[in-house]
Amino acid sequence: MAKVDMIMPQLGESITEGTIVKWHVKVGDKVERDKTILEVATDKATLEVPAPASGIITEILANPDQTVAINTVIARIETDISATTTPKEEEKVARPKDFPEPVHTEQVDARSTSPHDGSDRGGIVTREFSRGTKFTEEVKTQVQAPIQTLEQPVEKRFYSPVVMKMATEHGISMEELSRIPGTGLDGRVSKKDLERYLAAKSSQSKRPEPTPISQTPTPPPPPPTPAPSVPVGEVSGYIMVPMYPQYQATWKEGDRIEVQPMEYIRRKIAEHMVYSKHIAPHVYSNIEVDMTKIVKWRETNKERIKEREGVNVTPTAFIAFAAVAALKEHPWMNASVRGTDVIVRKDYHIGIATATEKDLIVPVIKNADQLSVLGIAKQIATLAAKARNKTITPEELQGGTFTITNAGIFGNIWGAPIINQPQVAILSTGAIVKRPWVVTDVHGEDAIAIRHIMQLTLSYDHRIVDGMLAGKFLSFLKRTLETLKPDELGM
Amino acid sequence: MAEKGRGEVVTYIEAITIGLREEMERDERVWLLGEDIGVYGGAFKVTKGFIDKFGEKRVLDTPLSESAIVGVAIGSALNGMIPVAEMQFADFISSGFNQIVNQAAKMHYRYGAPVPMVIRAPTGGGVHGGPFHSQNPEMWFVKTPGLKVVEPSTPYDAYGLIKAAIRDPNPVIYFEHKYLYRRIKEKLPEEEYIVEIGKADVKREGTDITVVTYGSMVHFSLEAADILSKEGVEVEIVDLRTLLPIDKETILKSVRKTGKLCIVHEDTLTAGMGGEIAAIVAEYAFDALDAPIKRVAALDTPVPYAPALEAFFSPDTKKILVALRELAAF
Repeated sequence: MAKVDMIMPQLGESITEGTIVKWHVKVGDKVERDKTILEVATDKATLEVPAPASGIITEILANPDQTVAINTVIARIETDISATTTPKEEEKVARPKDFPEPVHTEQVDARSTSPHDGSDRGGIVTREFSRGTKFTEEVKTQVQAPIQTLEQPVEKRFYSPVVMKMATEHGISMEELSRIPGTGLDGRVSKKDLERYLAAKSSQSKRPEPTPISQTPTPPPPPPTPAPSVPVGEVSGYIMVPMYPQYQATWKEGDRIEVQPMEYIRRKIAEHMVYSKHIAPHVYSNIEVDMTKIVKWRETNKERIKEREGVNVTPTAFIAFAAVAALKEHPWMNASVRGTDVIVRKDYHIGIATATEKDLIVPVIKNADQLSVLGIAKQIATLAAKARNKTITPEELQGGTFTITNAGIFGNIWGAPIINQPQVAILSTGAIVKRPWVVTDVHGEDAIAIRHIMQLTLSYDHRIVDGMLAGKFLSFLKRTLETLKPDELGM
Repeated sequence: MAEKGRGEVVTYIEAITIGLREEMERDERVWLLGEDIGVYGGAFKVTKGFIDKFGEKRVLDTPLSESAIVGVAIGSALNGMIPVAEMQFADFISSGFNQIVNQAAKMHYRYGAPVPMVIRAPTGGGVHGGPFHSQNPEMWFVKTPGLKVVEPSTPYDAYGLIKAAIRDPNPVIYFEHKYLYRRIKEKLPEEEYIVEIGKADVKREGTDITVVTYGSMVHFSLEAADILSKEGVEVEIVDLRTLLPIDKETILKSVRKTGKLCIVHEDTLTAGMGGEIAAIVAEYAFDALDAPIKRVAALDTPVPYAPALEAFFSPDTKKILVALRELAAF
């Protein structure tokens, strides 16, 4: 018998949990190593997970829609095909054993009752005491259990001094405390229960850098209303605990409706959008850019480059290139807010919002300041392809410091996007359209010409970005795009 | 039978004998006095053969008067000697009580005259000795400033503490547990050593519950801990070894680790050592507690003679287990 535990894989360096979307196999099915048997959704993407070994599935321990922590065993595979495949429940409940024989024997030794040799009486066996055989603490391999919380808070429960102290030290509110399952007397939360809870919680929050979709900046924002706190580790968020229940959709008998539950990623997007609008006061500025030079250059060079490099140098590549230059000139645009601090980022990781079949995801071009327009174009192409065929990795979806979204893809001339937290601005690019345009010639004479015009809209966080900064940023961007010399960019 | 020494497996009582003998060989100021300790070799034979080796001037048989024994010891200590007085049973120490608490304990404070002396007192029950041969009178002295009080639980500690007691400039009450005399064996190190007074010893490390205990109860507690270990509960056993001064640091450190405390002593419950330790922990480690402090101790009655009643009266492994299981489940 050889059993292999299939664990929830780590689907990205900062990913701590995954939601089971669908099992392609059931208990008793034969599986082959490296063949996909499971679809898992993280808050970034849906991914296919292969079997870790060949064999027969003997147990499936996590059901669709269940969110489990990474490294949690989610299935077991019997690799010895000849062995029985009956699932087994190993029960190891520590039961208090019957009391051992008391050490004191209650038997009177009849030899003597004289107190003067009292030491020789009694029935205990001689015990050899040896030093150096002290108990050494076993280092238990900690399989990180998912955070568990109670659906209903327990209202009246005794909390010991140490539990109260630890809760205070770790910023656990009474509300949160009341949802921690207790294994002590009458469901009491013991010190060990709280330690387990904190360990699970800290392993979930160990994220090396803020991620755009699920991460809330630290310290977390105050809750919007005295709404019940949301159990950690569940999908729910602002959208699941509505601030204003009276605005929830209602319908009556006979209405023609169909309830379609949101999928995991959609729920995460919804949550994130509500969160972003809540935390960041959005302001919008708009500018028109004459893209004629870039459009003309593309008309003559697009095919040549596509043939040579296998990539389409899109206007977005130029915009991202110019945006990096603008960000460098305006550091607070490439930043995050943490409490009362502005975290100015010196890395330029540009997220490019990309529509997939159903969802919107944001692949990130890492260190875009080190790439040429061609390099950026290649990155965009690669990431977009991966996003569409679902092979993108969570690493490729996180760490962005600024985001560009293309409102023009379906011809819209402008959009007012929501900031991708914890960034402070997002740039929307409208469709490039031909317009009658006033141009001034070298002699200072105005004339009307047909030009390729694009509107850029910047949504920005008014906590730290004022209209002046945004205005300067946009006008720098416009100037850069209008004066770029594509021929001199090495393509 | 040849004399036993360091480097050999010895009983608890043999360890005391070895320690005494070595100290007498080392320092000729050290001398012994007590009832029947000379020719008879002591009620428990701790000083068997000493009178032949060291002579009757250094191993003095005394009249049956604890007050006289302690008084003589104090006088000799004031005159530069280091007396080691034996109470035949700790129960009889009350006859010398005034000399101990009003003279020995206060001499240095009152007159600036130290009295380096040791009073050995065979203590404890479990040996069907009845009410006058089984008591644990340590608390009479633990609450007397000016004294030091020790009670070893193993041969190693018995040897190391008798030497420390003899070398200490203060009067030290050395409680030796009769129940352990010949039941506990241990190999002593080859090298001479001392067990510092005032230092507790973690006899077993654990993560879930702290037991603070001393004397014979160390072994019952260890037995309970072994049983609980199989149930997945790891008990830490702190052996006080010295009751005065109390090693607060070791106690608090352990309780801060485990969050749960059970104090076990063979002495009766009320105003026993347990109350003092509970108070220390409640005062200095309240925020580390995850459960109420428990005490396992003898009932508040004289020690019964009838074996069944003595067993009912005394703490033992079974009673310790009940308390520890309650704490584990809390």
